[in-house]
Amino acid sequence: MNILMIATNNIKKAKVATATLIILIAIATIFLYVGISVLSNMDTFIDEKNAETNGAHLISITDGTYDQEIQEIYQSIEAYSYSEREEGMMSMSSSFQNINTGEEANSIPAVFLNLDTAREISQVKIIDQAQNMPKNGVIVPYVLKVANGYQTGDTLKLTVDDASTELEIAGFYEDLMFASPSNVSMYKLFLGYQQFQEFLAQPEYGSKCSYIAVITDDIKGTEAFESQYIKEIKTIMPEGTGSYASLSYGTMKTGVAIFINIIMAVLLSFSIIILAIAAIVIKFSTTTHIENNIKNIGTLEAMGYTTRQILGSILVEYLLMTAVGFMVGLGAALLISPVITNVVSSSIGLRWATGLYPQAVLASLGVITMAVLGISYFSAAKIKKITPLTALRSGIETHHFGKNRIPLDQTRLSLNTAMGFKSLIFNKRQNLIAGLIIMLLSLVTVFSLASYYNFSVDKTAMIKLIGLETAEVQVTALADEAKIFEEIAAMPGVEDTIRLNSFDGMIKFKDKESSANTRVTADYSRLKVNTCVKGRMPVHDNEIAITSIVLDNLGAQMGDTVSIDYNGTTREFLVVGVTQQFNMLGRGAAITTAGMKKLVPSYQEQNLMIYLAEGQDTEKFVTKINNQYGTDKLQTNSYFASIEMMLDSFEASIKIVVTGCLGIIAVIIVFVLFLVIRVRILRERTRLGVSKALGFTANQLIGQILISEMPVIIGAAVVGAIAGYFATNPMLALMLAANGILNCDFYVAPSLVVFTAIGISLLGLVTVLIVAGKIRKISPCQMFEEGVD
Amino acid sequence: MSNTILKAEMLSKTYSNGSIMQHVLKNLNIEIKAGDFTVIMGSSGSGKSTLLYALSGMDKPTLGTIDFKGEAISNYSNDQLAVFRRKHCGFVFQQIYLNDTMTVLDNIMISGLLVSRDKKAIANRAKELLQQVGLSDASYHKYPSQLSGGEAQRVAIVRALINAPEIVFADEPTGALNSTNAVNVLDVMTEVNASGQSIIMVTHDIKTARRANRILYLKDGVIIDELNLGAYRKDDPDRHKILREFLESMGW
Ligand SMILES: Nc1ncnc2c1ncn2[C@@H]1O[C@H](COP(=O)(O)OP(=O)(O)OP(=O)(O)O)[C@@H](O)[C@H]1O
Ligand SMILES: [Mg+2]
Repeated sequence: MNILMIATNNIKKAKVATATLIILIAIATIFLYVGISVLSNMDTFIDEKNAETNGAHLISITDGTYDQEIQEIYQSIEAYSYSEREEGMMSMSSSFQNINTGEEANSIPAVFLNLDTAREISQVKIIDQAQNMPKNGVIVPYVLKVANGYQTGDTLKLTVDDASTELEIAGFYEDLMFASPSNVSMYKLFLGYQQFQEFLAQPEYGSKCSYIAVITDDIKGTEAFESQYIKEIKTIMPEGTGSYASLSYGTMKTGVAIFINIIMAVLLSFSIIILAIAAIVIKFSTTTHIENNIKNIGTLEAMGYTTRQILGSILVEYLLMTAVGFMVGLGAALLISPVITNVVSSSIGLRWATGLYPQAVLASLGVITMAVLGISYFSAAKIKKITPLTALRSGIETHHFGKNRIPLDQTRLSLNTAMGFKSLIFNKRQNLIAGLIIMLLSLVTVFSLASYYNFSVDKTAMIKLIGLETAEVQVTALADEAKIFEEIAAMPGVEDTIRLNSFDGMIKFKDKESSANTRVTADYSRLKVNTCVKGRMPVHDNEIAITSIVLDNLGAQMGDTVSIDYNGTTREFLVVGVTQQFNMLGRGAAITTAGMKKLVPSYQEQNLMIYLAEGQDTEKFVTKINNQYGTDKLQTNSYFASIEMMLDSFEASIKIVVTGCLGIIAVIIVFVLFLVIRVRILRERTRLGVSKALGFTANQLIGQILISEMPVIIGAAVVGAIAGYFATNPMLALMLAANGILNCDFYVAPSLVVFTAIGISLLGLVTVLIVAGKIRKISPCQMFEEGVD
Repeated sequence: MSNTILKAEMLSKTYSNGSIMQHVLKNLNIEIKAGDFTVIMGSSGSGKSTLLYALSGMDKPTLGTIDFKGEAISNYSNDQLAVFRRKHCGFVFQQIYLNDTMTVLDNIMISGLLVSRDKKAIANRAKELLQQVGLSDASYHKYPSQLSGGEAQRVAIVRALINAPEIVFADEPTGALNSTNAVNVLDVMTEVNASGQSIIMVTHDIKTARRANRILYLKDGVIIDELNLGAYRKDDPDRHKILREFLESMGW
């Protein structure tokens, strides 16, 4: 008998344990491989995609009055290589609705460009092109196809205030800029020449703009290039006048990948949780294996096998399982690659191609093999201490014989109850491990259900993480803001209004600096969404709150004094709080209006957040404002609707992932529970058989089994569910730590905890009954004569 | 006085291991009278344990009937069999099979409590029987794996006797005992037998077999012959000689 024979023999004997481990390893492999392959290839993938179309490094959209000056600014920046300018039409309060898919209208700003313009930068390569370009044909971002199900030939209804027109989708294009669902929500749409000219001639759809695309010498320095541009353009155009948008490749690349990075972080965390469960299952089955086979081990030792050889056979056993599990998992990962492709593509808006990535295969194989081997070595290493003699005396040393807590000649318990408790007490160590597994399963269930709820049902916590206000409408006044804002606040249907501005600030600390989207409002306690996670929001004019990402960039912390540069003025602020946000890539800061006035004495907030009363129609309200004030003085948009739209495209992906995880967890729960319970009942088989021989009926024995198993199952399910209640938010925060999230506020419904505890207990009960029920049909002899699993 | 307590007719037991069928008991007839001390002998693998399991209602025969005091227990359901075993049978296993999660005393109590609720009485009787087989108070609260093989065997015998069953089945109860302890155990058995309980015992040991009043010889699942020692007094030296001759003629 060589080591391999012992190993395969063990595998054959422990079928359920083997199947469970293979499934766990396979699932961990799927998550790990997908996570690693997507995360490690994302960067190159985006770069290559961009290179295909010679994608712009920077885009700026302005009203066109300062084209000459802007060109000069670009040329003055060292990394500048060349640029292209074309005419476009900017539509700030546009909303779109695909008539064919039956979706609701989405409010999102858009820039229309002429498809027939010849361009070097950001060339348009049409996917699913219509055979003939219709007169009202429009080429839309590829993300609308993958995430929203748009198809060539669909009718797209464009509404701007009271005017609306129908366009026909004639194809899709891929681009990083203005074409993906991310923090920067604006679409770039291409029209045929004739339609484009008609739009320009009808002012109700938007206004002429100047669209400039720049290529630089340094694709890694595009964000610095943009900062430089913003700094200079402010000296020409005051905030909010003629500059609609600017966007750098670097910002967009991070922005585009942020959701998918979160999803992959979730997958990787899941794979780690599953590996942890696998670890305990390995510990459980090696412990059981050694206890059940201690006599065989003793015999082998007595025959002259060294403990090292026996240990080796156990490691070989797990290595074989790992190999099979890994291959199964890899195969499954490749099989589900269309789903992955869809999730990734709809999150980044670019056509992702899933393939076999050798590095990712090796990396995940490495992680899994190390984990499995390490754990099985440590849990089997105690074999080394077993001498043939102790092994053959069936391991007296392995049990600590305590006091007999339930002496049958004295106890008041009924016979069956007493016997159930005796076996419960006797199997302390096994119970501990089994309980640990069930606890973990229960915890993960609560975590997954809670994630699903917060991602898909009640998104308040998500919105809070993003860090945006929940105002339905946002208006920007170009003049007369004091009067207009007062009038709006008094309008019927308006519940509340808050003046809230933001600007791109450059924050400095010692010799470091970092850009931050700095919010300005008079009283932060009035905001509906509190982003503060440590300390407090600023109250006085010398105070600032900053996100942890910016603080990390600066190397500063609460209590430090930082400074802000604005139009040549520098002022110092004391950091009084730490905030968090996904928005603007987590780069944010907050100062008071009084603080802003120290930088710009004449400062007035021009932005108003409008919170409508329950049941008010946002679109109608926007139209009403536009009609009353005209679009020259006031820019109005449906603020919350565009956040929701961004969330929707994210939701589709997260739903697939969370649903998949829930399904997998259900499978794991059933298998692991079955394994743990079956192994425990099999261990008791001889004992049960003898009891049956002595005259116990099957029902009495099943009752004893229930008493000895259920307290652990119920206890662990309850403890795990409660732990899940408390651990969900810290776990999430840990997963999102890289995105500057310190604190999560996901709602974990108490009913979810109760439901999980009861559900897992019931599942355990059913499993116990199914497994234990088998002893009904078996005769006592069969029970104690058959070998243990 | 000799009325039949257990009677098996045309008893067959077949094990199937995959496609291989093994006929362990073949059309076997056996009748046990109340108060009999029956010994079953035979070579290893001849089916002795299998026969004991079938007679005690622990395993259902493949074919044939078993009557206990005129009732066909071979038609009993599993639960009826369990009740039959707890009320009327005591069993000493070849492999001992004590419950290793319980102390010596509790191992005996679980059997006793199945039949009676009087904890004190059972505990006292258990202690009495333990004394008789030569186990001291020190062993009462030990766990089975802290006992020697012989001590464990004696606990198992006490467990079988605790309910004063009408029939005691014992599968090589003295195999693991030294001669002093074996004699102790056999004395207890003989005493039990003298009080009217039947004993059916498997043994390989001629000195043990000598105590019986009836020897059955099993070969390949068939009782090929039987010897009646009932006519001889227990201390008659001829008993041993006759038994030896019988066994030699069986090719033992
Ligand atoms: N559960 C079983 N499945 C298959 N075969 C069995 C089973 N139990 C016993 N046997 C076979 O039946 C035959 C008789 O077994 P049994 O245990 O009755 O022998 P025995 O006479 O008690 O032997 P020993 O003196 O060694 O105890 C043997 O060949 C054995 O292999
Ligand atoms: Mg036998």
